Amino acid sequence: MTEYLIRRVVLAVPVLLGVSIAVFLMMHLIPGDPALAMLRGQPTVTPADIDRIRHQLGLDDPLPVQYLKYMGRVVQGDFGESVKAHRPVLTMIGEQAWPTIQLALAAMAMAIVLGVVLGTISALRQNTWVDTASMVVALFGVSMPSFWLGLILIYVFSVRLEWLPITGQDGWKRLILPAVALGLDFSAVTARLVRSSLLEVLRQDYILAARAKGLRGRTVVTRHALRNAMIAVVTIIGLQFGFLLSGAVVVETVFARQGIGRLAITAILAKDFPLVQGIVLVSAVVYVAINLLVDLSYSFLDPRIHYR
Amino acid sequence: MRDQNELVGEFKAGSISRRDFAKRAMALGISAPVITSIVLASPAMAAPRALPAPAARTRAQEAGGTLVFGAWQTPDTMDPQKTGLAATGRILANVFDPLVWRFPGDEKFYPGLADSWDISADGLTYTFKLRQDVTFHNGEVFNAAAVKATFDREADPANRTLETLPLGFDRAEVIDDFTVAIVFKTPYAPFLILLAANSWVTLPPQYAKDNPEGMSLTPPGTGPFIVSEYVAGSNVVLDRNPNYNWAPSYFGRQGPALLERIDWRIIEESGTRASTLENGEAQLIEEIVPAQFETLSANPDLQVILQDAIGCPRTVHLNCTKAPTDDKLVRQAMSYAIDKRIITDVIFKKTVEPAYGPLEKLTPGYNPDVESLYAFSPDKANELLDQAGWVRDGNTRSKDGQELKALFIVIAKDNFDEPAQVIQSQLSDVGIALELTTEAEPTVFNTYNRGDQNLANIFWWGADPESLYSLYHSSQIAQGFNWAHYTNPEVDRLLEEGYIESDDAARMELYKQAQTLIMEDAPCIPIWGKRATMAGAKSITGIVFNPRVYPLHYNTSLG
Repeated sequence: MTEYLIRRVVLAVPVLLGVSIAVFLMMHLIPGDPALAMLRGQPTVTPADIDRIRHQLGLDDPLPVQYLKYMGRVVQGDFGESVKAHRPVLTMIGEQAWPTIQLALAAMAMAIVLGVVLGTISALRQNTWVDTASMVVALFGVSMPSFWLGLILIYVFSVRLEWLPITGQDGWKRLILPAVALGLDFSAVTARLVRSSLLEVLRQDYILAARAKGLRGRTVVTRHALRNAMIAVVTIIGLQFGFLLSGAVVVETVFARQGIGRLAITAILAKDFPLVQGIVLVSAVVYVAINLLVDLSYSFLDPRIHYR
Repeated sequence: MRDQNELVGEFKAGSISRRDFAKRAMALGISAPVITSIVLASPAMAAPRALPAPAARTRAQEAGGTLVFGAWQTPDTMDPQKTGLAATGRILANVFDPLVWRFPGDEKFYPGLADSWDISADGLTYTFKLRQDVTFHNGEVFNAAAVKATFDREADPANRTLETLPLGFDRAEVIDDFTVAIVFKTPYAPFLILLAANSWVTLPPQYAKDNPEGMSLTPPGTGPFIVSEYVAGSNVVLDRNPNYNWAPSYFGRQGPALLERIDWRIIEESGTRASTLENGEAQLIEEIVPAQFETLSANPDLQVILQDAIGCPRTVHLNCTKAPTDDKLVRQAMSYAIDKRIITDVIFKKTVEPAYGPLEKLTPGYNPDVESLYAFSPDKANELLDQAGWVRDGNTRSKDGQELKALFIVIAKDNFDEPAQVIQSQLSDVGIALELTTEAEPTVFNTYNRGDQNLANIFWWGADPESLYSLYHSSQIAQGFNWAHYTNPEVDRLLEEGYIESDDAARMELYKQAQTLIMEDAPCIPIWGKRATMAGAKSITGIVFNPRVYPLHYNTSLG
């Protein structure tokens, strides 16, 4: 187990290095000069001003030098300073992390509860109208873009009914609409997945054996069938995390929430290189860590799985 | 009050022009937003907004309360010397006072943190006598040393500031505790106007030195509002400065601001912003989009506020060095071929007005003569193209086997896609085939400077006619914002003299001449004037705009 962990952590290093190179090149190979954009509207811009800003941004070094300088600092835990906000990148990410984690957890919780319930009902009532109705709802959820859903939710629940506030991040009331907008898609995916894996599991011999020894139907489903069907769902949670992050960009913007998603999009549009690189690297680390956790949780769900 | 009603009557009857009306109304003490609203409500402007009763700006206003304001953009940093973003500028205009004030449509300077000032005969030294009763929000004293430290901070590259120093700046000198001189190597005549547009605002020297993190989050200024809290990515809390007692006379009163607090919320999505106004979460929002204009102005509880901007309007730059726009006749023909009203009235639903010259109407030194130039006339355009040898045979004109084709590289997400399509169709009416492509910022700036395009779109925020230098001086070709690649030695000379001429009237005359020459050469087609757009609760009064059309909330009242 420990050996497996170490191996996975070591394997993560080339992944993160690759990510860092990719994002560095992506940001720097986009032709164009942020200096000019930054100076637009300043009183009497001279070529000397343009050079001054290029130097500030560190753009006058050759690309490999820029990269090595950057990575040299990163390995010491220094992600540099945002060129726009003039504040440490890690501090800025830290400030925005909690609202996004809250949003992601709320969206995920809603998605899993809704998805598992809908999926289980569908599987148990396969090919009845209940099944069809649940799957139509799920299809609807997958197909709706979250920005559109967000605006519709605002219109219905905040403008018309005036039940819930639109903006901000304090308190659970402000979390409901964004969580629904972000999580509905995921709940639909989960429902379909639970349905199909549950159908498969229910046909296994050990379910027949459980029923044969006289266990109640509910116990068979929850203790035996669902637990095994959950492996697929847990796998998806790890993979969906990336989608949740990218969805957060949209949802946080629509609901004017704080968060990593909005920080990222603002940084990209402003070509704030150090901040974008910092966000991508930190997100990659989290992504790798979550998927490692997912892999480890398999042995908890199915004790036959061992890691060496 | 009777004078005011008469004046409004005259204006509505059409017997005086909009400019004259604004000037005289200002003299009678009608506040800028009220004037704006009257002008917009006039039939000539056809803006869908009811005419509020004219009120003097000294009218008793309800004090107190919290204004929740929906802002459209996330501030980058609050450090005045490190930002160029309007999102930040609009907040800071309420937090930092300039040495001298000026207001759109009013050619007077009003003493601010400087009681008086003197410009040396050679135009090289500006001596400011400072107020002696001003303190920063953190308790530091405002004095000559603070002004000097502000310029010193910006001049030191170690501080990595973004704001450009005044051109030709040499040094700041403390004469005595409350007298400071700004000395130039070469004269820089726009200095005062740009100061009044919140450039080079004075920072608390000790705080700026010791607390860079604080400067980027909650910088202490001298203004009517204090930044008490900045929750990055969420909102900025501005609290009333209880000690504020140095408002410019323009506001007609003294003492602290009327509002107790402004909750400046960042709501980037325009649909969400309008929703917060509709459900009462916000009382005022900015940057309303044309699609929302009708709904919001039809709502009896709301008002729409529009304020003309200063600087260079939304303009198409025609590349003077690339065929076929290198031919003046072709450029002039294009200028005649475009019906700006289609763009302002149909696409922007009359929320904006056509522009006619290289400067916005409210810019000091604006030359109204340009308004009679290039009135929409396809006939005139056809005539000029015939004269230039482009023969019409079928849809597109041609000359020596070459078709009359031009390339318009449009800046992506710059609100110019639909106008560009209108321009394309109107140019095709006179036989010019316009190809449209889009390219994103900032890449497109390099493309423009390389000169790949025939047509580029540009605008400029600026308080002084010196903005023309950035867009039309030949030194700005290839490495600045002269995307028309336009050279005219006479225009160059006028724009250079504009920095030197110390007599204000003579200086404005130079810019007026430059505008005429530029329009004659037609390196640009001005399309529409920029505007600040806001919508808010009907009861809100007292919003005043600074020369960058940033709202000043000193007199703002929830009513």
